Amino acid sequence: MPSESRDHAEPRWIDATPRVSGEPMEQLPLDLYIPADALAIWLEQFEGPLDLLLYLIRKHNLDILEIPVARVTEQYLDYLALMKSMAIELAAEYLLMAAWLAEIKSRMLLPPEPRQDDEEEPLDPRAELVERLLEYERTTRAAAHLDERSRRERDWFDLSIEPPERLPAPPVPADLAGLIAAMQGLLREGSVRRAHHVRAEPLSIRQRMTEILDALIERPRCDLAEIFRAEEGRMGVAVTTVAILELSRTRAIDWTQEEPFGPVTLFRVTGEQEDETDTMETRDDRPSDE
Amino acid sequence: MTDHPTSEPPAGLIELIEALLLAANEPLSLQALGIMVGQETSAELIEAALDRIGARWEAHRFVELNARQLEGRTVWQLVARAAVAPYLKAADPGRAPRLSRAALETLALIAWRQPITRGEIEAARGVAVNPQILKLLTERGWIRSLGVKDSPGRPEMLGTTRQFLGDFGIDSLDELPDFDRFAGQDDIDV
Repeated sequence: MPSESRDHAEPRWIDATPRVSGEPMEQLPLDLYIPADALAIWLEQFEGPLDLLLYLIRKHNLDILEIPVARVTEQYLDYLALMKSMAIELAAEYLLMAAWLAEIKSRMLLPPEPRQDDEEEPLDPRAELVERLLEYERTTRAAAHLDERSRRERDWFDLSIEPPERLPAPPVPADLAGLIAAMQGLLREGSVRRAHHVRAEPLSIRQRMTEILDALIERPRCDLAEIFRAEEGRMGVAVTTVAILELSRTRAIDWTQEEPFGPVTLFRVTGEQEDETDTMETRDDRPSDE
Repeated sequence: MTDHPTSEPPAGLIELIEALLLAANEPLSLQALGIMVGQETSAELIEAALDRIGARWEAHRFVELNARQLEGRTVWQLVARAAVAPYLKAADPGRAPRLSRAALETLALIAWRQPITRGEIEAARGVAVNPQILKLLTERGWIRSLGVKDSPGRPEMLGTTRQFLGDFGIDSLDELPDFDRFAGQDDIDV
């Protein structure tokens, strides 16, 4: 995208001279009212006195190395006068340039100063101006060159998926043969393939809740140990515990424990509240609403 | 993988390279991709995969596989085309504002003439440097301070950043055309 070496384009000057019926209008009609800031846009396109001077030189097809200073100075001052008449506040740089041009103009009228080392030609009073104009022209072209380059956020945009960590991808240290050998070893051991059967849940919390309630209908109290069934293993303990908690949450049953680490006794909750002496801590967590 | 005919990269490799291009956040060369996917994958196969990825995005209006030269090598990157710009700006109008001529000229001087002081920029452009422009260029991450010049007033010297190179697709500062090439002799001779 960017590296195609387009030849740098001309600086983007637009001939800003207003035209009426195709004729350039450099003098404003006296009876014409123009809002004070209407020409600000026109001025905006000059990036300073060097830019304005270059514009005048190019517009009149003048040789930058042999600037007719008198003519250019006149045009430059005309332009400043026009801007002043528009009540555009001139940057000090424009006035400085006007003074410089006037100085060069007057120097051109004088015989050249003899140089100390009279080996070379006498110094042209325009030399510094020419050098600065050329330098500025190079700058505008370099700027145009930059602008033409394909630019991020204008001509293209980053696409990215963030990797989990912003680390450069490390080179893979293992060789293919080692990887295959390791994989084959794993496959031989059979640890990669393992059958997994999905079975219906053999224990039901709802079923267990019913069983506990049934047991408490036959007799008012019942030991917690009697409810657990060793053959059901850990899953049985879990299901039974959840069932008891669920029943106590709905205030269908309650429990007591006479002493720390003593047997827990379940009992059915009937109408009247029993004296609660030692109860398990979990009771405190119960919501108080009935 | 090595016994695969070069003309037909496996789908897995195409997808992997596509993901690497997205995740890398920088353009990737054939060499870099080779290291990432494993050296046993031939460069031809990676190139064939890149061709497929390029073809896949060809018809996409907003995304493209972009190839360009960097450090004498071709690098690839998946990018969003300029066509997405108006949509991004709709949510954030201040995003990546257009650069004024003043900003571009200032940036050009900093790029070509670095290290350069503010005073030198002002001399070259013939106008005072607008601090807003330096602020804008700094915020875009394009310019930075290179320290102070050992001269009266100890002015700050400015230079460009890596981000500047990346954003403008410039390989290195040497790649910039010679400043004197912009001299426009052709105009003068006429």
